[in-house]
Amino acid sequence: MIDLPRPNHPLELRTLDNGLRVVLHPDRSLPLVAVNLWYHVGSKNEPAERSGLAHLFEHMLFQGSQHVGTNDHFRYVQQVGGVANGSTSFDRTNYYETLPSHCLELGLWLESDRMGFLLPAMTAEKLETQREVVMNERRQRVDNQPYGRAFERLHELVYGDSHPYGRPIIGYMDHIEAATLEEMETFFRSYYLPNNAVLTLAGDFDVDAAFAAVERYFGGIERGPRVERGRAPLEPIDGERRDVLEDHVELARVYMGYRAPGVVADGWRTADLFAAAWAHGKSSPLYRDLAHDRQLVQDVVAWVLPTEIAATFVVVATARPGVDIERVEAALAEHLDRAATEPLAGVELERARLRFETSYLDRLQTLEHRAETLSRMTTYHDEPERIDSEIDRYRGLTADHLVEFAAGSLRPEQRSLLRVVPRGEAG
Amino acid sequence: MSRAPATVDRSVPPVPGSPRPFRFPRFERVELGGDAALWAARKPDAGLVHFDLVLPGGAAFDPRGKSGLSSLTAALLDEGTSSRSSHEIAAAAERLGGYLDIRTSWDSVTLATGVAAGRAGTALELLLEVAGDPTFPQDEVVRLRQRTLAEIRRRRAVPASLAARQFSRALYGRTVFGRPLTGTAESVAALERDDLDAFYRERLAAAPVTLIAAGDFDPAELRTSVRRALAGLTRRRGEPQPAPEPPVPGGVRVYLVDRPQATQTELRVGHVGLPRRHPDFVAASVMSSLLGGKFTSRLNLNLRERHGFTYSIYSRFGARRGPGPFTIASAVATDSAGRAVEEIRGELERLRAEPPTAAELDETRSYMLGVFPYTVESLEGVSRRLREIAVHDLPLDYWDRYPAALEAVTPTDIRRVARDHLHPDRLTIVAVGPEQALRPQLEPFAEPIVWRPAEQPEPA
Repeated sequence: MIDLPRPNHPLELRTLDNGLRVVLHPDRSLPLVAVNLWYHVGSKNEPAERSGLAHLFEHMLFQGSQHVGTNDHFRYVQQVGGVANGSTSFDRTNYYETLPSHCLELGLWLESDRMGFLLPAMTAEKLETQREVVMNERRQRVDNQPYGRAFERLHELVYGDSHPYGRPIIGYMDHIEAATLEEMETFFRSYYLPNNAVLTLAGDFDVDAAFAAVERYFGGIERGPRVERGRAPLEPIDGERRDVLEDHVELARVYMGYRAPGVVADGWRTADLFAAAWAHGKSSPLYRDLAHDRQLVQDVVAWVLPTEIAATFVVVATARPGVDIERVEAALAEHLDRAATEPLAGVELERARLRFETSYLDRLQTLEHRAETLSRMTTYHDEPERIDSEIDRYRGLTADHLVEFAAGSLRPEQRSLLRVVPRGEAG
Repeated sequence: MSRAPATVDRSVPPVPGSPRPFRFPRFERVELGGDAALWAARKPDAGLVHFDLVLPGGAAFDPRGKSGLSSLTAALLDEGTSSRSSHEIAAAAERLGGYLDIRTSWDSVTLATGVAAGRAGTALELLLEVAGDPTFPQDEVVRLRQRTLAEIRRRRAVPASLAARQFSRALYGRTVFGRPLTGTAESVAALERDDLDAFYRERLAAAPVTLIAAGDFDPAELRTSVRRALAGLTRRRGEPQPAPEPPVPGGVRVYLVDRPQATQTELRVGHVGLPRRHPDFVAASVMSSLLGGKFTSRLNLNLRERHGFTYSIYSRFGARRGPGPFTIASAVATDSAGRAVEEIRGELERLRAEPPTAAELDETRSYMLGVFPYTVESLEGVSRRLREIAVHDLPLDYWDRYPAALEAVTPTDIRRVARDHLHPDRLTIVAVGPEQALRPQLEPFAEPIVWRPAEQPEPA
């Protein structure tokens, strides 16, 4: 039944003397090149009272470096027809550009300048403006959105506030307000190091020439101290955790969160396939029963947030008007209980696996996504070739693996349950 | 920690090499009879195929009092055919490893699917069955109508949705663009199975039909397999789209959408724009990109980077067959809403007063030219560009000529299109946030008209 082509990306992994790992994936079909830089640092490396520091710092990296003017990063990229952005998560921060291929060196110049020469350009004035921007970002994404606080609260429940995964990536407002320039500098010196980064180039270039250019731009940046991969210990979950948020929403919604194996372990793929098999698509068991047949919910989705120390398995369902949220919770729990004992039919698993494989290949059509995948595989596994073998890892999973996952990780006493309800309906 | 000296001259950006040329992917257009056409862009090594079946229709055809009809009819297409139930259709699509995605815009209904190349034939059969033989089962109609009503209700809590609702209502009044694409609670509640069935027969089952195929397929095989199916789908050309009704005139108007608890203000500023087919559309898009289409645009550098009022701001000319909206959108700190509007108005006036420098225009054109290949990396991206040609009746070589069209835009063209298509003297300003804090800031622009969604489901 499986007839998809197995991906086969030409690639090389080379390492500079300063420890920078460089992944090179040539593809000359379009005159484009993707530059993708992962720093293995994220919000989990922040001090507890400075949530949001890593993300605010990401903003500062677009404010110029010693040889690049304040708003010139985007200017240089956009004026040659490139796109650029960055993002911060719990474990890593990425910076990326897609450029016309004849401008590859521009990307290397910009990225190496902020890796090696950021501090001379970082000023208190720039920090103040970006602090305002980020506070507006928080309002836009969190505080002024219906259900906006839900994920923050769910993570607090799943991990507790003593664990870095229990604190929001964007940061609490008072923490954003308190961050100082000195803290930014310390953060930079500790983590923004060639030996804590992976640089991926994907697209239209000659491998040797491109690597020589990488050496010219990055080779002179000095290696920093070794970054300790501290793993903040997870406090045990000793029973179900619950909370209710009242919010300005029209429809009640329930969030269930569980801890799953972290991305470095193979186990998280089981969680990922479990989510796809049970809740992706109109013919999945959860959607079909809750949304279509019983019409208890507007929608139901499940996914795994792939983080390093542990991953988070999440199920979210929005109640139809007039449906008691408790009925929705009971229906979800019923399915998850069943999942822990009854293996899915072969056809259901096959459907999930095929959908996973097709969408995996679909996403790899763009250089940007390929480069991102290569950086991820190298950061977490030191093995960029996993871009091709990833599908095999899913093919090895059976219905019994999914049962094992549900029985081991989705038990009622392991659950964090958050209800978001319209104002005045907390009961 | 000290950093070693650079091994390259870092003081200036590197000199670029010579650009490699880019051509928009070739495609062939095959007439299939019955006013149906196949547009095929082949990419033999892709391993995947993407299909877009574009039907004439869309929310611009919703009759008065029945807004949301096109959207609901389209949503029902894959909820039952003569030979398959809703479940069976969903299961069939998902067993192919793909999806069946149905989207309604103002000007078209598109059924999309993407699968591995080996499954293209089966996926296409399913797509054509769904488009050609829907039965609109009563229980599925009721279920999706309820779901749509709940979705309309959910959006009443979303600041951006409230802003968009008030903005289109203010721009277009009670004409078709002034009504929501998915309908109002009142109009959707009144839609019956017979309405859907009739709309399907009169509109979606009519000609012209365009099937866009992108990816890894055998062109001859594809032509044979779709010829009969597509021709059977269409019977006659539908009635022409009603002429767009005249926009509501007026000077500067301020609308406050009261959300007393809001911690930020959603802003929409703009007016009626121009149709996609207007000869100025490309020049206007360049102008809009310079104004608010990229990070280094004037609006972003001013409101975000200079003032810190917002996380993001953009401007856009909506691409419709009729005159779509010109929109500037942002979420700003509530205490800076008045200053933000003042800065926005200032930027519009500046564009009308003086042409941009050659350097600024050059930067903008290079950006648009450079990102063009980036937007057609995926099969879906190629298909989207072809769809734009089909829906808007653009010349078939539109994307081949697009780079030259961009190159031809001059600074004085920008000032001319700014004068013709930007109207700071008749701006509609919508602010969703706490009325009490916003009123004094926005009163200087015009006496605010207030909508309280907690009391009124729709703006007046």
